[in-house]
Amino acid sequence: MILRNILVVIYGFIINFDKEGPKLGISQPVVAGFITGLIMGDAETGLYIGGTLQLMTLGITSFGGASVPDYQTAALIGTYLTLATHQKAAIGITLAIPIALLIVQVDVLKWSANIFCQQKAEKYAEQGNYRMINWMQYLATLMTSCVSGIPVLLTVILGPQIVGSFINYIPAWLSGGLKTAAGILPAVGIGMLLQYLPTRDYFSYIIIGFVLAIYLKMPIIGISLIGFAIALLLYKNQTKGSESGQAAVEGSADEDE
Amino acid sequence: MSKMKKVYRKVMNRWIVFGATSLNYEKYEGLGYTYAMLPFIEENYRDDPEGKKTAIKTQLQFFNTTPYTAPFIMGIDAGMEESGKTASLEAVSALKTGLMGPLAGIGDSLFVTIPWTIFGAIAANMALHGNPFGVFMWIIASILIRLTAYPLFNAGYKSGTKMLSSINTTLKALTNAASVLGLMVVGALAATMVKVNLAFTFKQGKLTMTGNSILDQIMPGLLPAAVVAGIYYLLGKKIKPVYVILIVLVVSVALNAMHILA
Repeated sequence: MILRNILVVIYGFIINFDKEGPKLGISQPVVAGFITGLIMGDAETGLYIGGTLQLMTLGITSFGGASVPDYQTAALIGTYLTLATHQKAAIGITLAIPIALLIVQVDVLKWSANIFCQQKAEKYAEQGNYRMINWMQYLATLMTSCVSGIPVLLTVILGPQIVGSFINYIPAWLSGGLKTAAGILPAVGIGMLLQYLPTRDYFSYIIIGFVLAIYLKMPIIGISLIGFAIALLLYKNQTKGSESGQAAVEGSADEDE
Repeated sequence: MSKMKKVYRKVMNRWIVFGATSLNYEKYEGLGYTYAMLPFIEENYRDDPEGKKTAIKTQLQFFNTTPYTAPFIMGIDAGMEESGKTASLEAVSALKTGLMGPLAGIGDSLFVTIPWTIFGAIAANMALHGNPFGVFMWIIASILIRLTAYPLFNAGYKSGTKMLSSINTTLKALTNAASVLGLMVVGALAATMVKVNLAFTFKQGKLTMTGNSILDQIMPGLLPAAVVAGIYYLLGKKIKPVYVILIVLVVSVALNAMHILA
């Protein structure tokens, strides 16, 4: 158990670093759920919690530096608490929502604290001490890691006892309702994506995807491949159009000469 | 790509690993950009200590764009500074400010939202069936997308600002095409991933029908589609996603307690 806890904490520190730095995908909710599940010895529950949170948040991405709820770290913590206290997956999913909202506050702290590194770096640049600019970057990176690492560390130290005793008081009507909610919550992520993607221009493709999935029971990879084929055709058409347009412009320019 | 100079490779490695880890409210990616460019600056201004200082101070200014498209700007920057040295710095500054906005707009959809939709949806879908294959697929896709940094840097370096309009049309066409793929996946997700189960069963004599089987005879996926449409409507009314999530939680618990939903 101690080894498992240590691994979970290490992973906690990696999550936010990966999110801002290498972006290898190991900071996504579904991946966080899976890896935490693997560490805790129940990958299936981890996949379920992470997958639900992933669907719920498909449309949530941080653009232009806006702070958004941290569902990645929340997926880790939700999975960890569920497996450490032997609860149902729906509990982990529900726990993850307030946790994600809390961690975003820590993220705001980081954004502010990193101003220190930026200003220090400017001072070192003025003094000609360029080596230290590297160290300011590394210090800022450490603070970024702490955004997810510290909450995970606290959870591992305090979480199972506090949450475990708290969960026992959850009445049946509430846990039943949470299970219902877990089924519906993916609709929020889908709704957000629809807000973001050009839904009005390409509404037909939603219907195609919907019909393929529900009437033909096609697996999602098959639907993606059909989508990919259509996308390929569309892309070729659009770039061809602009190329021939350019050629026409060039042609007329030649004639003028 | 094999001809990419060692120092540029170093710049890109630094950007890929530490790109936006020093995000701050004052200059955003200013420090991260400078950190990545430092090896290049050290080499480019080796015999010009004053120039080096000016260059570093110029780079430490405000910068904010999608980390995926920043390499293109860095490539143009390196090309300009290499030939123009300190005389180019003013133009570099203007170029960074001018490009980060438009490239962020395209970069966010093409490199973030759309791949996250497609691969996230596949990974989550498989995950709910207990299959981790989608997770592995997503990690591989993420790495491949990240590796576009090198060719994008080269494109910026080789063509400077000349290629900007053509790369813009290419990226726009790619975004449109990828959106179509994304929307098809979203349609499939709405059909399969949203679970709304009616709690009541209809009994008459020997005939027993669950609420869901009655609805399925009218149109399969009717309830999930209606829920998605409702949430889409709420979000369109500028209600924050967090509040929508809370609404879903409260309504679910309430309808479950009233034995309408299971």
